[in-house]
Amino acid sequence: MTIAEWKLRLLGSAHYWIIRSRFRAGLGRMSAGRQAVSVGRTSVSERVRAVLSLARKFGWVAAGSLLLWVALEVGARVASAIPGAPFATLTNRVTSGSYGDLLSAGVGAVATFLGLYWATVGVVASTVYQAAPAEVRSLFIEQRSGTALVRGIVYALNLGLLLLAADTIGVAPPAASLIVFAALCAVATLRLVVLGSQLFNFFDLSQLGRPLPARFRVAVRRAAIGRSAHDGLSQSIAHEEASRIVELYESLTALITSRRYQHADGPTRLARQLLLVAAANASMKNAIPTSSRWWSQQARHQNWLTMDHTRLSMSLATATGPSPELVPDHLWVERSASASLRDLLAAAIAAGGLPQVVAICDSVADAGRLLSARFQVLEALELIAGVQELLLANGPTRPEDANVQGDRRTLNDMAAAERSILLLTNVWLGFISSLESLLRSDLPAIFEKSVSNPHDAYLSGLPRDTTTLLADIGEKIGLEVRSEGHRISPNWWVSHYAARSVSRYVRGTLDLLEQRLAKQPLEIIAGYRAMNRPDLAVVAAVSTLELVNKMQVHISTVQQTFERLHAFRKAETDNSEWVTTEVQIEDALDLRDTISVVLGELLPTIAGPAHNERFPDLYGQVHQNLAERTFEAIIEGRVDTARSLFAVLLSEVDRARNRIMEDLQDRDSQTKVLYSVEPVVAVMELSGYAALFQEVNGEGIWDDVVTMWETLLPAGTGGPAVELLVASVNALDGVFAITTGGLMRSERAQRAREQLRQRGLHSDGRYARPGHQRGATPSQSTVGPITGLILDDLGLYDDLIDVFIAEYLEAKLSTGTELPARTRSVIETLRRSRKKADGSGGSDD
Amino acid sequence: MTRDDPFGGMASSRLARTYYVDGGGNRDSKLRNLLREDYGSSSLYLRMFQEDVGHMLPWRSGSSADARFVVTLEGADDSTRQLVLDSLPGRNGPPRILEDGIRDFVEATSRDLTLGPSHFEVVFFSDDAGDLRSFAFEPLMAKSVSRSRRRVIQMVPAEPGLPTRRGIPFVELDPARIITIELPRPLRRALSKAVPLWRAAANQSLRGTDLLIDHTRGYDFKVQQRLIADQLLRSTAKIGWSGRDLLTEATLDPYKVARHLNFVSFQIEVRNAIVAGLQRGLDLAGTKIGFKVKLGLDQVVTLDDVEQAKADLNAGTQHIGALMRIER
Repeated sequence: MTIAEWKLRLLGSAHYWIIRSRFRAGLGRMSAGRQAVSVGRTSVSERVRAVLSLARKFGWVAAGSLLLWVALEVGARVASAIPGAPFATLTNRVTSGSYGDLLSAGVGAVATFLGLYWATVGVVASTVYQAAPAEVRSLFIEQRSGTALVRGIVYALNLGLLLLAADTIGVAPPAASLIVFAALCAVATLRLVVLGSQLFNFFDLSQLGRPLPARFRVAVRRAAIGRSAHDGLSQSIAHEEASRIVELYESLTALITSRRYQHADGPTRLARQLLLVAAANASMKNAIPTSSRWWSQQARHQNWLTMDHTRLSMSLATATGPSPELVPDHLWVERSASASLRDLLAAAIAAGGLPQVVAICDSVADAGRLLSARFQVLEALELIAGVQELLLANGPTRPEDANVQGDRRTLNDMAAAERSILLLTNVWLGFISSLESLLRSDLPAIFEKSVSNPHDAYLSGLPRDTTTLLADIGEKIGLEVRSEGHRISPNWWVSHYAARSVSRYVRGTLDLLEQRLAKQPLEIIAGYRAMNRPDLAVVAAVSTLELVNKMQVHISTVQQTFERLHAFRKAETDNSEWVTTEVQIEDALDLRDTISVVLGELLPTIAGPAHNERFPDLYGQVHQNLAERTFEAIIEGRVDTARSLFAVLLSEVDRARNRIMEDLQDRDSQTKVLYSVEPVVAVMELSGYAALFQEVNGEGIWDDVVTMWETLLPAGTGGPAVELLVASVNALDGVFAITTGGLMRSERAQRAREQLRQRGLHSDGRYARPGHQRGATPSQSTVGPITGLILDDLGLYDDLIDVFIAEYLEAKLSTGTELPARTRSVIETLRRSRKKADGSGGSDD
Repeated sequence: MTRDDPFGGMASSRLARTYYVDGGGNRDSKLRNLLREDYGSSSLYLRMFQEDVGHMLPWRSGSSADARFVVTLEGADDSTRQLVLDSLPGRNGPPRILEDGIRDFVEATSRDLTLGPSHFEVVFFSDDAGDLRSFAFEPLMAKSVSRSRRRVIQMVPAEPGLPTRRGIPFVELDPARIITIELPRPLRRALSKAVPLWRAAANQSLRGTDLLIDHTRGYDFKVQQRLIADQLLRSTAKIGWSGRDLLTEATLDPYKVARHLNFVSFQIEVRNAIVAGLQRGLDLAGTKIGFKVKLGLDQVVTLDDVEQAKADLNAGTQHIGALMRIER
């Protein structure tokens, strides 16, 4: 019989299975033993740290005492060496009768200390922690400093009692024992002094949580690193320890939120501890095997319509349902932390701690970014969910929080509103940095390393599904090596499936984030509007525009990642289906338009008489933003958005001018004029662009723009409004300095030219720049007169204000109205172009 | 002489006996025990393997008259071709075309080869004048034949006057007319290692039910099946058979393909050994009757094809599904 045959026969033997079961149980016990030793070691090291911490605090006093004792001893010895010295009696060895009192006094003192300590602990436990769960009370009682004190006292007490016992049986103890005893008594006294100074910590629940993050770190490391990470019992022990800590935080949160706190420090301290727990979890969880018992288990119920035949027939025959399958819950820590964070921060806000909460929100945003940078976007969203919910529900300080000053309150509210979006922005940025790290990394090498040793798969830092897949492939490759003597599955096959898995993660995450980003900011903004806080709605909307901008900027990274991963696709596999690698930016642009329109609606509601420098200039920021968005909407052909935003800007011209005049009342008149004409020329310039792009696209908002102007300007010619427009243009023409508005207009003109160039419209060759394909360009005669003007004159007619005047305003001017020479030139050029196009003569000259 | 009986009216040189293992005439328990080892195997795995290994030449599609492979007989005219066709034992009577006859012969012989050497007797038929007119290949039950350097005997049911060996009656056969087919030594070694394992594995799987019913502590059906599969895969790498995917259920696609290609290689070597044995039989018959032919197979998978498929698997230049379909 061969060994293989013998092994097979063994598998049918009951003895084999029983012995195997016992052996595994034995291994489990050994592992538990190792675990206990490890836990004990950790516990000892924590105690040592606590003792050292105490020692540091009374070290100088103890050293002084020691020096005193040394000085006395040296003095006694010196005195004993000198015959007839006055202090010779001090050097004599004492008899039992002389130190009995000292012993009795010392023992009595330390016993009293012990009693006092426990009495204090008992009182606190039965009052402050009366309603606390048993785990929290244990946490309080087992505080390391207290434990160290008790141990010191007990040592002193025991030694004293032994010395007394020795005296009663007539044994003379060595003099050194007395000294040690006295020293222990002294240390116990000093410790009590230190502990007494911390007495008020007994009433602070947040102090109890201080050692918990370190304990959690030890537990999660045990589940992630080394041999214990792959040992079932160690995983269970680590999970139990971690879940105990998570539950303790839940209990502490429940206790802390049930009290009316006068200060926000307690809840925020606990929140920071929870963030440490979340960070420890985030940094280690990728390395924890998917099948580890570290994860909580959750039920997954069968889909009856896709069930396999055996289960379906069995269920129907027995009129029962199949048992749900238990699957790991990878978000168990984040879910609990998120809920506790929400409650803790709510308690902090209630105690007037919005500034601290805003700081915590920044930390949560950082944690969210860290998680998503590690391919843990679901975890990041779970963690920030509670805080977002809180910011929306409790963000604005309630009127009854009278202890918060008015200005500070508004600023805090604004900061909180900004954070409500910033949390999402950070998740997006984290996601992008995870993709950037993918692009930088040597993926084939990572895939190969992961399958060559399944344990390495969990150190690859790839998404969870991919590491699970690679670990599974690695185990199956192990079987190949065992059976065939060498690996069979080729690299290309492994890379295909691994890259496919990463692509699925990227696609799924992108879709999820886009879905969240399309919905959540609008909900948040609507929430603030419903609370009648337009200022906060504006802050959230502006933050959302920043988020959209970041999405636009980084979407190419997503595209590159898809392309990189798609390069691994092999049609020769059995499953070559791939996720859609197309990246749509349209949703983000739609969101940007929607937010811009919302900002347009909010603009009139946030306009104060003047800018208050103690607050962010929301009105000015939104006004500038809307001008930019309107320009973009016009040149990109987003007609509805352009129409809506232009109407807002036109209606806000007077208010903006007045506000500027108010803000600049201490400045010279030229400065006042320069800035106050900007809102006027901005709408004129945008009108010019509307005319240009209507001509280019054949459709646009020009007709609507004209209608809107008609409602403002009286029929016929002249009038104060028309004069204001002309005066504004002339005022700008008379200034030779470079103004901010002028630079912005030049930039916009460049972008408009670029837009035209991308559409194949540019000069017919007279001023063609290098790189232009002359043969492919439309001739001058195929473009409209405004387009021709803009394209031909190399920036001379950058200012579209002149186009607006030529196309609309000129008809409203009184005879003899003065206009800048450049404007006259534009009017004339356009007139000639049109005549030429109509075939009614005219000259190019 | 008819199509159904090409040797009718002719005298046969046959010496071997035909009988059924459990037939009414065979009351010899020793002989039954000897032969049942071949045919009465209760091992699920072994039975499946014997069925699978025989499927190495393709069947005709439906009612098509054309085979999906070609048998070549170099140097044969029509009458010689007919002689060769008549010589082959068919599955259900005389084969209609050479390809059917060769396929049936290869399939039947391959099953015997899984347990040891296979033998067939070249039987000659002569007319009334004593001239050799035809011949036939008569397969013998593998374990019933014992061959030494000078003698070949066949164990048969008891008949009065027959000599016995170890209590089993036998008849003498003509060693010059007995063709023995054996697999190359590495394949024989691989099979001698694998067959006991397949038997043992089948038994242990059956024992699993008892262990389940008895609620044996620590017993896990899935673990047992995984360990059995692990052991079988490890011990049968040379053969490549995957137990109709029962053993490779939890393995990767490339491994399944590689095992399949190994099994196809094994089948090709078995096929080559059988065709070589048939060639020896044809050479013997040709010498006596007066013809010389060379038997060959076309449009069948060769070892080169398998090597190319393995290279394609490594390089990813062929679809995995297509590689799984390389057979026969």
